[in-house]
Amino acid sequence: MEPLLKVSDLSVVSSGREGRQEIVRGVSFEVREAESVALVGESGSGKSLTMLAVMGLLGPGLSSPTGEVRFGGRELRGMPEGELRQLRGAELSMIYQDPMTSLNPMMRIGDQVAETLTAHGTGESEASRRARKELARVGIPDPDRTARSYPHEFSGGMRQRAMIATALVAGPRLLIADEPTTALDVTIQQQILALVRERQRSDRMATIWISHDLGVVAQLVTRVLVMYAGRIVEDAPVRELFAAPQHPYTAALLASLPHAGDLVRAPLAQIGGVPPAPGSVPSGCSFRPRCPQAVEKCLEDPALMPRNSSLAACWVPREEWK
Amino acid sequence: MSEVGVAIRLPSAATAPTREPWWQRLLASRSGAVGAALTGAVLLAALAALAGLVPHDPIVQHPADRLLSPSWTYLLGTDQFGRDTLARCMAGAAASLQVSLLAVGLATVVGTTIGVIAGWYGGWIDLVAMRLTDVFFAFPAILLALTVVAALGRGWFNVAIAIAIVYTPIFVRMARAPVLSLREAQYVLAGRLLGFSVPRLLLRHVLPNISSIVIVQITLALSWAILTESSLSFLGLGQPPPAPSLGQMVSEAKSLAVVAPWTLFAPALVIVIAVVGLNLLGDGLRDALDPTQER
Amino acid sequence: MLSATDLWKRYPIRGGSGQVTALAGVTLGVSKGETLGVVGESGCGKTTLARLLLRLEEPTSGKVELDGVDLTGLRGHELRAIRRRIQMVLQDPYASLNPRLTVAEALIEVVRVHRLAAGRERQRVAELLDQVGLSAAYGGRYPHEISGGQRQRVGIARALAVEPQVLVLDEPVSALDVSVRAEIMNLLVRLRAALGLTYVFISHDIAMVRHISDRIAVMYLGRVVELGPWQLVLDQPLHPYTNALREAIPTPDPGPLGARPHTPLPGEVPNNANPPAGCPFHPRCPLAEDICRVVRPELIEMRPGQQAACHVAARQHLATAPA
Repeated sequence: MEPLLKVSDLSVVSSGREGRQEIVRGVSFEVREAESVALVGESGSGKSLTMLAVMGLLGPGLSSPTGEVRFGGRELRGMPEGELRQLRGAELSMIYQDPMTSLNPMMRIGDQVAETLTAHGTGESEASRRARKELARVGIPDPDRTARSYPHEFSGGMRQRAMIATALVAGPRLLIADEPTTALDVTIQQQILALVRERQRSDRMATIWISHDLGVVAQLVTRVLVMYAGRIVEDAPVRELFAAPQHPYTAALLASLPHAGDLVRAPLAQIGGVPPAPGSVPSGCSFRPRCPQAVEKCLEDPALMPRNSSLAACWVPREEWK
Repeated sequence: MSEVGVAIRLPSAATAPTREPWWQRLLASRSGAVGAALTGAVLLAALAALAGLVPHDPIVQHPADRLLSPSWTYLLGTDQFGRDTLARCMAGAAASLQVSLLAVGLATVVGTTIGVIAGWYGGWIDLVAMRLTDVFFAFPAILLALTVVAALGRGWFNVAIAIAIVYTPIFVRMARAPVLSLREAQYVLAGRLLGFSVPRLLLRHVLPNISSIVIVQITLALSWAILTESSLSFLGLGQPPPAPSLGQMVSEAKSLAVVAPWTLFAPALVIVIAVVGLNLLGDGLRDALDPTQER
Repeated sequence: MLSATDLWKRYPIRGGSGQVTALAGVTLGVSKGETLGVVGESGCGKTTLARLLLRLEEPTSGKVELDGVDLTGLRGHELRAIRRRIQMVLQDPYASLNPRLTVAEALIEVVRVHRLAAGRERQRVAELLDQVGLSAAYGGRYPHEISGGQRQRVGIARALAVEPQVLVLDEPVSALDVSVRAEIMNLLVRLRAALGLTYVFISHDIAMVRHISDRIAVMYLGRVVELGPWQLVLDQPLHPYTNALREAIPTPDPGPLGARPHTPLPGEVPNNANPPAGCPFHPRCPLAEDICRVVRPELIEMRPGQQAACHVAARQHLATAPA
């Protein structure tokens, strides 16, 4: 059965003052119906740009010269803007990190949620009714009254729920979440994660969760894609990723985190160096300068290759690591 | 002690970077180079006039040579009194620059100081400063300048004072706004924590970080000052004749434009060159002085 | 070394009536060489606490003492003398450095203002850079030319330039990439040992706090609700809020198959302008009883070295304690 989303060899290039820079290259992955997947990486890894490219929402100065994006069997690239717009919001939805800038401060919450529907052809009163129902489903109390409030009257957690409501009200098949809980308090984050988990289950909705927080990801998804310097370096089921990461970057990242529950507090395992800037990615494997497992062959750029039940872009299998 | 912190040094930091001094950066950019050239030309002409290096005395009349079109003797022709247009332009430029530099210099120093103090301390100091500037803003600029000159009398010094008075409130406002946000900047906070005195914080940390805004404002003010000085002398309120002034030359040339167009174009061109040159120079300077601007 | 006694801080609400109570009677102390971790969510008052400890603001009531000196009401050069003893490392490494000064210029300024290395200023700057693991070549760089982790090291070097005894660290690694946090944390640990520093480590990242602190204070709505050694506070919490925090931490571990995640804590952090009566946590507390709605619990020691402000916990633990 064809996957819901199939991305092949996607690249994103920026053309600015510093010339043409490749920010994302050769990204390929699949997401099946109702599957939850995480896209993990640090700043500069290109994770947000990848998803913006998928949605066809790259900003000025950015373009995507190669790649195919098939959603529900249809090729999104080259699709006329009108058709793309019909998909966005209705079948393919996105939520973001800062609810204050992604919610219109001048518009009532209820109207904003309803707008997703009216923009796709639903009548106003029907949209309004469904909007209020959706607000209740995301756990906003007293939806009839709160639908008439403005975003600034809500707390951060509530605003985030409202944004989730605008994204989910039309029942999309795929939700892309770009770090929506990073700015929230940890107890509120827990509530939002529980909400999303529940909706994933009940609506059989596929999710792509973008994050730099491996902890958040562990609780939420079944598969993890790790990005580094614009490439996917590991694609693994979540248990395998945490138990036995197949790429040295993933392993180093996991090892550098303190674990609440550690009984001995040893110095954290640090990774030397810094992630490369888009204009200065090393040739061959981009992680090579910082990699404790680097060998001669790493001067050649590795593609994703099968490693146990995962895929990793590394020449050195885990069994042979020092 | 080196083992205390382990770091992988960035290869580029192995040697200290070589940096260009600001004037090189200025001249390397297009606007900076053109601006510097144009402004420099006007400045040189003015300085030459002040030093007496003029082809003819700007005031002396040569009645036999009235209204001559440009020739080798008189490079820009003569006016209705037989005075050398080129020499008069040079002297006029000197007068304009003299007035503008004094006026803007005063406005900058006084205005920026008040603005920074008002922004930093807030409270009633700020309140008073803002209400005073409100009063000044209530008047249209040129009218205010006119009124001051009318009250003080003609002459280049009074024109300079008038322009300074009009522009000071603008500098106050323009300096105050960024100070309000810089006051809360993290590095200012760090400075307070490190026990830096207020004068040090203002001079070393706040002022340099509002300098881009101030520089641009200075060039705008200079352009406006030159234009205003010209307007005021056009209206007869500047230096009394026969002292040359660009505005007055334009005024006198009104009636001669058809017969002797050079008498109109020459001073007008000088004004335009000065204003454009200053604006471009301002842009170039602002970028050249900012270390975060990569070329 | 550093103590806060019954600190209260209220701010008037702008353009309205009433006040916001940022701190409501906070009492705690940090011994020399100790690291006190402070955790809490928004509105808990940890940033206000930091500002009061650093004497950036004065408390509405209560006092802060540093090495025996009462910081209240200090002015002028007495205040400046005290500033040398306690410094802060800020969260945002870019914003904390003047973008127009090179690293060396920024560090030299501190050394000069306090007249700390007459005649050998450049050497001192090189020493400071070395201490935080940067080569002297970094001195010629501007903040925007170096990475976030390096900027943070410069920020640490600047704080150390005055040779303080106490460092208040407000979210020092939160703005950094995950892979860089480990090295900064390790640097902080090594500096602590090498220079005998006392730390107050404030963060919402509970795992980091647990990694570096000797004792941990948990704050909620302007109060300390639990205080105790690092092994106990987060692993065997007394207060239900601490327990909720612990369960809310996303651990990088998917857990056993079929394990259900903990039920999230309901509700929102209430408004400090209008705190709930009695225990501030009662509206969200799974164990709330009638007394919790009316009487505010005091911070009481329930296990050796571990205190909590909770009626229910008090009943459970003190009843079994020896008389």
